[in-house]
Amino acid sequence: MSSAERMGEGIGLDMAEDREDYILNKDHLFYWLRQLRKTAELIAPKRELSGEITFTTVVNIHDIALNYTAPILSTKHILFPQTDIMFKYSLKVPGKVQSTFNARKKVVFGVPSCGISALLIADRVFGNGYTDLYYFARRKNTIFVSIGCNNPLQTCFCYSLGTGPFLDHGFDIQLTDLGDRYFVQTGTDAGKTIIMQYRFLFDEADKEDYDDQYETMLTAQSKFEGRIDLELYRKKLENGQINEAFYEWTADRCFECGGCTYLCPLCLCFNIIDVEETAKSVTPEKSKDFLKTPSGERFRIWDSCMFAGFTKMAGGVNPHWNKKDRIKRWHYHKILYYPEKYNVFGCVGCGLCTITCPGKIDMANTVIRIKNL
Amino acid sequence: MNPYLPQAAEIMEIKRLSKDVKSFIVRFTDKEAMHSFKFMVGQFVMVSLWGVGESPISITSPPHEEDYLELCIKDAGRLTHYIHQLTNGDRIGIRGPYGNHFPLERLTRRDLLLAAGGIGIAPIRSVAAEVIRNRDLYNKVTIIYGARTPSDLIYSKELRKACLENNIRLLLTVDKGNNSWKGKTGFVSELCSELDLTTTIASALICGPHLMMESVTGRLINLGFSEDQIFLSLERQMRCGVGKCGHCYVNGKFVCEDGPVFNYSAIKRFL
Ligand SMILES: Cc1cc2nc3c(=O)[nH]c(=O)nc-3n(C[C@H](O)[C@H](O)[C@H](O)COP(=O)(O)OP(=O)(O)OC[C@H]3O[C@@H](n4cnc5c(N)ncnc54)[C@H](O)[C@@H]3O)c2cc1C
Ligand code: SF4
Ligand code: SF4
Ligand code: FES
Repeated sequence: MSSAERMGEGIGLDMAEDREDYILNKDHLFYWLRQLRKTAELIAPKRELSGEITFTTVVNIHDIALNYTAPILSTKHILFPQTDIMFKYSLKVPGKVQSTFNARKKVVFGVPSCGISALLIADRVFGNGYTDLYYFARRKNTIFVSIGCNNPLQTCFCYSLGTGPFLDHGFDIQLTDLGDRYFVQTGTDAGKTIIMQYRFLFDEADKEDYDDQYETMLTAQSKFEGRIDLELYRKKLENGQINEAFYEWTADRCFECGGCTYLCPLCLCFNIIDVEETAKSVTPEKSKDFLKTPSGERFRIWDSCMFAGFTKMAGGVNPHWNKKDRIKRWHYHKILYYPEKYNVFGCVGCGLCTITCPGKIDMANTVIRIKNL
Repeated sequence: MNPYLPQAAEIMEIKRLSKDVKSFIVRFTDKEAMHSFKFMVGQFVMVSLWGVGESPISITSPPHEEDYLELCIKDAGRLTHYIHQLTNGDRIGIRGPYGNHFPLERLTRRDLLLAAGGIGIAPIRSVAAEVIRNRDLYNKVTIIYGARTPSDLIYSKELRKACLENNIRLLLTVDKGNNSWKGKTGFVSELCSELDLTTTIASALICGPHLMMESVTGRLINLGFSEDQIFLSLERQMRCGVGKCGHCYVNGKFVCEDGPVFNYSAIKRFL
């Protein structure tokens, strides 16, 4: 394996040399999306029967929820699905495996800025060392159209981290909702291309548009109430200022549901599992039967470090047996070690863990408590 | 190249080494793959059995052996139990090698201590073979190795012979002896009191269960070994082997990628 391959070089997106800004009349939006859907799978926020917003493949263009507050799920599943087939194996030719890459062209519309920020960090995780081809096969074929958040929720703290509510880079296309029209910014060549194909729908942005966009951005920023200071938490961790009793307190409140990790756009851990196509029940004593099983698949599936079995080794030894150690591990990873390795936190302040955590020991609540320790 | 894809390997020979340990001599079915497979002592491979899964297993044969790989596998759980049912000619999947290695190339002219506990002998056997091949490059060499009972001491005949021929001291111990066992009983760490290495120029390479590594390291430091001359091979649950799945993550390091071999001074905060 060449060193270039190992480093995941050449996999990042090409930034557009000169970025261009446009205006899209809201009346034209669905027409544009309809056109895009002719050549790519369109994924957009959809209101489910439960009322919650998920990012789903669009069947009916009118299902797209334009004015949603927060999705119930992040967009991580688009490049890193909850279950992802890695390859098929056939026992007729044991060992000959064929990798399965899902590289359909996709346009993801309506991603919040924190989702894009998470994506840029995930790129580094999947590209560091060995390149994860499953992730990047999708990455290279997916265009993200983000929408800056005009109305952040109380649970959001992207502004404290610089990961939202608007971005100045990293997006393919960023929209700002200006009421009757969208301010459209292009960040990459790929983003520019899908605008150029339908250039007649877009107007040049003029001075008033820039002013409105700037105003909208400032207003959104002013809506963040509390400042969640992850840097303070990091310093306290580094200096060993947070005692075990605090983590014991959190552990008492944790239900081990794994919700925080499943929802977090930067929790990227997984397990790897084989499934036989002929689901025979085979006992170890008859393990040769496996060799007769014609074929199957190996896939990966989201896993959670909040579960006790996550680190369990053969013989039953487990370095992170108790809940307290597992919660600590999660926090240390995001707050101490992400910055050490990537110079960013493993958290973009999306607040999804706050919405989900039944024990109220999500990232934001933890950090608020830490402030007073 | 997709790092998750295993390559087919055929089992050429199986040796039973103890009640629950077998050694498997395997060869990639693709000649080119066998020829281009290079590794260093202490590295591991991910071993697959279709329909069951995969596990990290150290390479126990010496790196200069180009025609085959030897894997020494303890029946410890699901996958390893299935592997123990296989016979000659059966095929498994192998990907790797992964991880870093014991830094033998940096330890020339030093005294060496190789310490193994239980199945930890698997990578240490490969280290010993490499040391023997370049015996002149090292000073005094001692191997200490312990297992539960005399019959759990695997490769012991072979080790005795090789050590005798190559001026290497071999100290064995068992937790629990039997009537025919004339050697020592007690934990591996207790053998440390018999070492006659010059600690100022000695390096230690250790692999074994957590407790064993902890106690041996403690002893060595008391004897005057310098912390940065102690190298430990850690075990963690592993799924991907390539620094992605997060299972082996410990204090900012991936054992599969940054390890499995760590310098004691770098990891003492979490050993
Ligand atoms: C770098 C490295 C090198 C290694 N080298 C070697 C080597 O050379 N030789 C060697 O023999 N070993 C080696 N190991 C250890 C080896 O990887 C493990 O013994 C092996 O992974 C066990 O896999 P398994 O599938 O057989 O066990 P598993 O099935 O994973 O079992 C692990 C433990 O969990 C329990 N368990 C499994 N499933 C469940 C469940 N559903 N519910 C509850 N409990 C469960 C099992 O009983 C067992 O105690 C190495 C490990 C590492 C990290
Ligand atoms: S830790 Fe919580 S707030 Fe931070 S990115 Fe993950 S889910 Fe969002
Ligand atoms: S969401 Fe809250 S309760 Fe559930 S595992 Fe995470 S910390 Fe524990
Ligand atoms: S085994 Fe997956 S990260 Fe180390």
